[in-house]
Amino acid sequence: MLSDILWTIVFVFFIGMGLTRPYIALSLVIWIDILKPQDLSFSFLAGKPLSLIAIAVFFFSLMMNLNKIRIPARKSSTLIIILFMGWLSITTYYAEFQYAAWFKYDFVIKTLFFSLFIPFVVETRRQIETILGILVSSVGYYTMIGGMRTFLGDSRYGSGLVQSLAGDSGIAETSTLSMVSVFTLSFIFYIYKNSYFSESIKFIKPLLIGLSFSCLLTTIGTHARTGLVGLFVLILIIIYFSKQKLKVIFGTLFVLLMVLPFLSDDYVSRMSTITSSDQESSALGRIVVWKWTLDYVSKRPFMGGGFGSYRANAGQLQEYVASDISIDLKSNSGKAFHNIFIEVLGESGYVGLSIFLLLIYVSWSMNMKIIRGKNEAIWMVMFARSINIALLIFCACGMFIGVAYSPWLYYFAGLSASLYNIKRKTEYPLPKQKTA
Amino acid sequence: MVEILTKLVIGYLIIMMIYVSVKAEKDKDKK
Repeated sequence: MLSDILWTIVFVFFIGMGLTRPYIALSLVIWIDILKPQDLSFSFLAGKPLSLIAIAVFFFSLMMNLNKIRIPARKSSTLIIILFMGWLSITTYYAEFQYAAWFKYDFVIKTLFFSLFIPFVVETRRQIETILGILVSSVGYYTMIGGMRTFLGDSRYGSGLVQSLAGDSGIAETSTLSMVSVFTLSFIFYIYKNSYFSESIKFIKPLLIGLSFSCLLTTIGTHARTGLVGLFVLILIIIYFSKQKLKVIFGTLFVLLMVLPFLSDDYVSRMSTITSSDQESSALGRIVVWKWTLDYVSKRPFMGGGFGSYRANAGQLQEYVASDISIDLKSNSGKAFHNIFIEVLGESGYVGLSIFLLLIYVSWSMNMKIIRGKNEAIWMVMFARSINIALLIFCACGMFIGVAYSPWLYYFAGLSASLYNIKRKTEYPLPKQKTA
Repeated sequence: MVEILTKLVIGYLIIMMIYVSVKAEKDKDKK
């Protein structure tokens, strides 16, 4: 009851501020999309259509404040997302499993559609940092609960870290949570070091330090090997970007020593299987599905099988198994893709995969232009770097989980496009509008 | 208890971020 009252206060505050500011109304949509307070509640908010209300508030705010909307100078990622939406609509129309396909299409299109608006409503540093801050805070709920449970020794392999009415799905799913925990670290670092908030909000710095620690603990608590891959990538990137590499290596070792007491035997034995993919049933199962997908797509290279097409592998995977190890092939329901690239390939063919890769490339290259720029503001360079780090971690972890259509990549693309537009606006300021 | 505390912290962060952002906007408009 108490937590419902608290979420309601936040919700009403969002609405109050968002009605005249589209970027705050969009932050509300992002907050509801990530945190899902209606799924975390066991009182009057439970199951309420908060997402629908947030969307209505956003469109109302958009209509009332048309003068605050800017057409982005760089439209490539916007056009790619629109193209992707169009292509996914076609592949869904011809999907092999119609019911499953339209079910997934419903939330995928919503995710893509709202990420489109980010560059249109964000035009200043303060606005882009607000969206990032809301994103980090929303993820922060899950990592703080997960971190606390790990700290108290209440995490086990196979059990969800954060209880949600939606069950083991979305961000609450352990592998996804481990990935999100890792890439959120790069955003926390940005907010701590460079954001406008770090100097203007009381207690924010100790809270961010606590949040970072909770992200690390959550990564461990999930017992997901995906998280370890993400951490490995993160450490490599930090060392690569750092000018004082030795200092960073010692710092990393110090942090690892701090989390060492929380590594259970269960965790260590689970992680030790990461190097033996040819002997471990879970990893072997994924390889088998990937091989099947390549064969499956060779028969329908342009469009793939539509959303949920992994169901077609039910009962077909045994012929791809090359060892005696027992693998759970889910012969009745089909085994999911467990890889973002294979997922997109299987569901929307080589055309869909090309569009997906193009979106990643365009977002990455826009940020790289800022990072390599000679006269860019430090905050801008650090922001671009934090998005690219998150993008890399997303791609690395995405090799093992099917999160291609979860909102992360599209938020990164939206933020990258917004940042690039802010850079362009700084270079070529808009002429002052004449007043009546 | 842990959940309530977490929600309080997250709620505080979100409200403050929006408040600071809106306040900065208003200050800029005044100038």
